[in-house]
Amino acid sequence: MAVGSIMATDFNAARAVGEATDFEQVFGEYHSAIYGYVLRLIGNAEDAADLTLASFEKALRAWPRRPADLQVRPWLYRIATNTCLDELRHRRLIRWLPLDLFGGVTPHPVADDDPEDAAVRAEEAKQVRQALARLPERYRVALLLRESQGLSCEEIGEALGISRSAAKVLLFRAREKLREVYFGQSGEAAK
Amino acid sequence: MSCDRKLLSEYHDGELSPEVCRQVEAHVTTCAECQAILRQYQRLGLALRGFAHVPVPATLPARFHARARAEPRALASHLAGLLPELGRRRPVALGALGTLAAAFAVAFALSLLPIRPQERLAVVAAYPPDGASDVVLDEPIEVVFNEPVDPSAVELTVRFEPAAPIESTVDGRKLIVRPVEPLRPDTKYVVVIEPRKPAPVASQVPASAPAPTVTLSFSTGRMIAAAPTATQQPAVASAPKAPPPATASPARAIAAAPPPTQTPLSAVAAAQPSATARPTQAMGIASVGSTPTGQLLCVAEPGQATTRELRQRPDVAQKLGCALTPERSLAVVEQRFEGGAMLWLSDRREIAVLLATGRWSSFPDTYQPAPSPSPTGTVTARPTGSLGKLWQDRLDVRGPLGKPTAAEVSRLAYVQSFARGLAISPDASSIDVLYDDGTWQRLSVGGTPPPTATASVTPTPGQIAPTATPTAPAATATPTPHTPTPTPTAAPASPTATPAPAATASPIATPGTPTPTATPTPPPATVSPSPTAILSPTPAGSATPGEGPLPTATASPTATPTVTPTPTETPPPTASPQAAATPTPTATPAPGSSAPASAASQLAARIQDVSACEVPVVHSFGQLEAANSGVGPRVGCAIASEQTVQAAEQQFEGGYAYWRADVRQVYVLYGNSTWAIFADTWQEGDPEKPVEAPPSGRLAPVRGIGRVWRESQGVRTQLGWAVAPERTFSGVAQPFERGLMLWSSARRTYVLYADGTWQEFRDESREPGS
Repeated sequence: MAVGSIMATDFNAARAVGEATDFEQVFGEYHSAIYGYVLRLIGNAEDAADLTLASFEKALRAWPRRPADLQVRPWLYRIATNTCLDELRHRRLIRWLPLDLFGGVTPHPVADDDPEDAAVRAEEAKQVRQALARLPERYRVALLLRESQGLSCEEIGEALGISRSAAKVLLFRAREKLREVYFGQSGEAAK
Repeated sequence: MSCDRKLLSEYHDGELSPEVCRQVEAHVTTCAECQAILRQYQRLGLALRGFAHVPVPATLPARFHARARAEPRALASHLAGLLPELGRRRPVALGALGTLAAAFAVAFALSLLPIRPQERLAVVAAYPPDGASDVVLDEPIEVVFNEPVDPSAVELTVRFEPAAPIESTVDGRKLIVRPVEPLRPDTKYVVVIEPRKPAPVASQVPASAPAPTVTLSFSTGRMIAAAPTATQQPAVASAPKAPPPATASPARAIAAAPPPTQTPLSAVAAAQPSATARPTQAMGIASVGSTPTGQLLCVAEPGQATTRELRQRPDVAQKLGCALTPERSLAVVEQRFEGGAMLWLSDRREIAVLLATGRWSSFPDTYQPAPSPSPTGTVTARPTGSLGKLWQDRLDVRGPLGKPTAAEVSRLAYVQSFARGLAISPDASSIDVLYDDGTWQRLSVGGTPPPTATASVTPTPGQIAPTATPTAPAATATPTPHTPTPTPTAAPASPTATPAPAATASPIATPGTPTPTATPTPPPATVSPSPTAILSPTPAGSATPGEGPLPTATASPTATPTVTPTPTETPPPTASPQAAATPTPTATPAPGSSAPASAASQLAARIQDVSACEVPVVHSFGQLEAANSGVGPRVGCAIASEQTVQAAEQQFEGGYAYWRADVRQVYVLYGNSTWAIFADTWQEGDPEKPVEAPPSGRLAPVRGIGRVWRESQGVRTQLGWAVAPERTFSGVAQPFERGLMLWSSARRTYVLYADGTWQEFRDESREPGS
């Protein structure tokens, strides 16, 4: 039941750490990335916007209680991940899932200096995302956080509440599974 | 170096040390297979990277700002300061919170209303009182709020001026601040309590006023240890600037060694000099307008219904402390159960669960009236509405309470708040005294005024029930006509029956603080006019062989035989504990009972009959009951249909944790076949404080289960580390009268019994995910 045990004079000082970062900045800096991530997880632009907002609202509510050494980025991804997975589970509960997990979303090619190459890549990206949709959600989340969102293993660990080494193992298994599903479905052997 | 895909994966992620990196590169150049795999990793990564940036809907930032503005609590939670919880319930109050000093005054004004709406958190009392002198150097400072303070959400900062190291804890409505080391002698200290300063949120909130603050000042004396005995100081009751007690630690003095005081509380409240130190000197409510900082006084007198009884019961008066509010009438709903009673209090939408064990707890009322009336069955004694929801949702409440013995009754009760508890008088014949320490007792009104010695050895139910066994019946007088259950009154086999050991213990002293006045133990035969009503014990822990799920029958052998010393309508107690194996529930109609005992017992009898179970048990739960004949009698009838619930489960070294989204509970199933239930209080975004790093192959649980695990040392010790990540799935739950069935996607069904044990059954018939 301890509220805290600190020197009285430091009571407010401890709280002041990190106050300089305000939530407005956090939203400005991360909402685009979080939206992209949520969209990949949930597969529907309208829901993605709602869930992004819901994630930031939760984050805002928790903002005053944040620890002084909070790592904002993995923390936001953690909230967004949990929010999305809760939503997906809820849908499963009511026995409804979008058939095309990424329906209607056109991936943006990384580079489009070569239109033909871009088209090939877009096609491959489409097939990869279909394969991704068949993965267990934990694998999906790990791969998206790493490959799509660029989080380090350390950050993925933070976001998923696991250690860095567990994150590495998770990524490895996810990658192997995706490889198996994708190259298996396309009939493409390892080459 | 051989092919190691995991290393390739880490290489692809740039997670390898330069040295290992070089080794991998050297291997890959010579290994076609690894080259191919690495290429595949890269292709997949590239395809996924293409997802990275998608156009964000242009309206997203505006929508966020609009929603943030629409939720004042979110952005202004720091203004609420004191209690985010309050903010959620009453967002309207946030903007107008004003200063705590103002809230101070408001609290008193509100307390005068017949039904206090409890609009906001406010300080109602403090010890030492403002301006106290000669405060003992290691004295804890106690600040009492008008509502329980949520320790997980406390947004208060407390500091001393001049600075001193302190440690603060929250206990119910009390904030207790302890100096870590003794304060300086002969020094004036100011205690500053203020809401925690928030992070500024750009442009979304108006510039907030300087943090509202409550200050209390006191001067230390030279005494280090609390004085253990009473002093000659006058009470400070209606004399704001009266000299403070010379011994500054009445509360502690009481706790350590309560003086054998017999002064009625009212005398103290009326500011008569008291020969004894009593907590009432310290605890008082803020009076309006005496001083801007809120002079702390004890001003309210005990009310009509409680006055007389408290005069007779100095022990109770002492434990309760000062009256904080005048007595007021309040609508309450009460329902009696085998193992206690539930009491719904209309002013705070809370349900107090009073157990025969002498403990009580309060629970928020989460009932939402359904648009259509709930289906009515033939048996209507089952609790409904708010009480019913709590009874159904919480096995830890349903277990000890058992089944209802009467229908719920609405009535107006007299209620009065005290510094350390609440007195509720639901009718003219009894007062339920609920102490802040979690114990309660029932006083009967109008009984023979007990002599002091007798009063001081009156056992609370809590000290009776656990010791009540068929072989050692506790003889306890029950003059109250308010016996809540139709439990047969059973006489001890012999008039010289030895009372249970607890009968000689002090009912008032909290555990560990034996009261000296308890020492005069009365002879067993004179355990008489006790005003304490004994509720029938919980059915848990007793079983009547061959009688199946007959709760009344099972309760009876363990029922505390009660002596009825005063002439009442109660028939002469003739039933013996042995004879009670086949009790007639109508044996002792409780004269004061709100429902005719015969009707209640008829209802109870109907519920007993398994064949009369209204709610069918189907699917795998039904098969389980059919295949395991021992289960049905133990859990009793289902009280609701099975329900699909969002659930999560995690396996630990020493058991399982099962989380249910619908009731936000975590069931912890220990390997030793006992269970515990915890409320899931985790909220998204809450910091998940890391504990030590898990050993290899083990995990620390996260989110709701994680919070329970982290914050309860007992859970962590017994469960150990998680051995697998938590699985989420659509679970199935069905509540029973004395149990709960939970289906897990790991093809298991857990049966939790109200007696605190659980069993696991394989369940192959239900498809995971179905």
